[in-house]
Amino acid sequence: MIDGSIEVGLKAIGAGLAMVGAFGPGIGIGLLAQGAMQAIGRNPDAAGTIQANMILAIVFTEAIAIYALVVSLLIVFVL
Amino acid sequence: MTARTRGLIVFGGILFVAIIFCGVIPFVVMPGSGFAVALPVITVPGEIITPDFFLGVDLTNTIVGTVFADLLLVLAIFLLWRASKGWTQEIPGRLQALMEIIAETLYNFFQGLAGDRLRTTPMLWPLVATIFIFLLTANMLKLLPGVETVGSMHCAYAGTNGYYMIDGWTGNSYRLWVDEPLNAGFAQNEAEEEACNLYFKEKAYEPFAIQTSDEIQQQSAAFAVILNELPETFTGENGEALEGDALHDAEAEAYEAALEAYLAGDTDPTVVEVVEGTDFDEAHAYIEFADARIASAETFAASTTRLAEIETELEALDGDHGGEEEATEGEATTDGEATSDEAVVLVAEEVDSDAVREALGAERETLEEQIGLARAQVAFPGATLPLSEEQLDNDVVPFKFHITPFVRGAATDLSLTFALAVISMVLVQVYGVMALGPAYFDKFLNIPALGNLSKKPLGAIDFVVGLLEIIAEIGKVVSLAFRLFGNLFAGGVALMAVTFLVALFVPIVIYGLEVIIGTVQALVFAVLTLVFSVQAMEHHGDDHEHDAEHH
Repeated sequence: MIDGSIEVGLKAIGAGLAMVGAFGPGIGIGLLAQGAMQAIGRNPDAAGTIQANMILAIVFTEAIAIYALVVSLLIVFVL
Repeated sequence: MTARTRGLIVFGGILFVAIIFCGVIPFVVMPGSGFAVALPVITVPGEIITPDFFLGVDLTNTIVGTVFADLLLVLAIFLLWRASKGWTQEIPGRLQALMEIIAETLYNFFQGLAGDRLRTTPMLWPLVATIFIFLLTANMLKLLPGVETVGSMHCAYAGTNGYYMIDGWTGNSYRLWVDEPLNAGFAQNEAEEEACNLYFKEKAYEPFAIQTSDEIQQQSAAFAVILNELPETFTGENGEALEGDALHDAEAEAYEAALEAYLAGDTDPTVVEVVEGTDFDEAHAYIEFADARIASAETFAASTTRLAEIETELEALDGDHGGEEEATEGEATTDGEATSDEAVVLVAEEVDSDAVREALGAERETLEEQIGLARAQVAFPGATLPLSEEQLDNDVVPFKFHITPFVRGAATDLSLTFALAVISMVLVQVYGVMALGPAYFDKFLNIPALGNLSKKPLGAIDFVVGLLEIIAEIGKVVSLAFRLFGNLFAGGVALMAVTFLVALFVPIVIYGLEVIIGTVQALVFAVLTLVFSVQAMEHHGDDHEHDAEHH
């Protein structure tokens, strides 16, 4: 038994599909952290610089996931 | 006592507290007193508090949030500036030391990213520090209690969800009445919104008493008699016809006299009891809504009678059924050779009575709903939510309401983040021009590369890449704006959703997360502005010529 309008359901599906965009950044952040960890392992003295740069790069990567989030939020609350 | 037993005791304590605070209180105690958490209406643009507030601009709650953050900062600056007049001694005081530590940490962090340019470029350090401190204040302000929760009560707009409402603790205040946990609200449509506004916004009537249709008829007739006594027209001292407030006052005065005359006459004492002490407006509203209320009262009476019938039928059915079952069991045990025919009949009867019971049960449910709605509509003509007797006693208002918060986090509005992103990217261009002069624009429109085409035909690629840089620059604006907005808005939604699910303790985790996200996003915005500025100031035009010389 399904009640409610089909529009709401389609919106929910659309919003869910939009969040597939978080897939790539997830991998990206993982790779970034891996690289940073290895770098720190090899050169522990440079940990400070590496961390700062890593966070910056993670933020760039994360921005793409945030676009997906914004799109899905817009689908749910604005459309 | 071993470590294990002690641990078990501690664990038991934690479990107990968790069950009380995450189970019993939010799901039993709070709904029982109408305090369950409502799910707020989530909208992306800032909600309008006062339309057309200043020069045609609507005042939204995100603007209020921004102004609040600004005021806080101005206040802090003023106080610190006054205090800093004494900051000349060799050994710094505590406040001075704290401020110096904060400023120095921030400065060193930025210097690590920007190098010497942070010092040599005018206004760069003030710009990024301002962005960071403003966003930090705004993001932390968003987490204060009352922000995004306390606001103005109004009828839920059509298409959104609303809840019951009840008077607050002080004079002109209200709060939502949510008496079941995980209730996402009741959908509102336009007709219902109008009915709600008639009561709440236009104050067309005060809630009426619960009465039968006869009583309503009798009393509205009495009111009609009184109102008929009033003169047709009212004239002022100079004989002109009265209008507006003056007319209303005159009518009210005439009504008082007519009422007294009516009460002095020979009237039914039950009517006198109700009519006594009413004023003109009440009498008017009573007559206006009498028809609708009579219809509701009739529905109420009819449904109540039918419900009583069903209850007796169901009871009778239960009695029969119980008896049968015992009988069957008795037969089965005493008379093991019961014929199969008998068993079939019994089963058929049972199925039959089950179907009847189900039908009656379904009817009872719809009737109960009808009774609730009719009860609500006798007290509030045009009510859209059913009222139970308990809710009626608590003075719950059966319309759908919700709250528009007065203050909302500044960065949860795309307008602020976009404006800030545009400002910072425009300043980045300004810094670029300041450092490189007109040559800065070679980054976008690579004229030298075109000029060197005869020497380096591949320079054409550089030219196209330069065009792409323009798009990248616009992309930076969008990226800055959406990153900040997305993080803060999603954080707000997460807070609302988690508080809605479990009211106590669990949201603390999200609050912790929000503190981190608010700080990091403020820092990221400032850092990116800084990094973009430094990149823009770096020489890029003749890199290739240098490269050519080196190789």
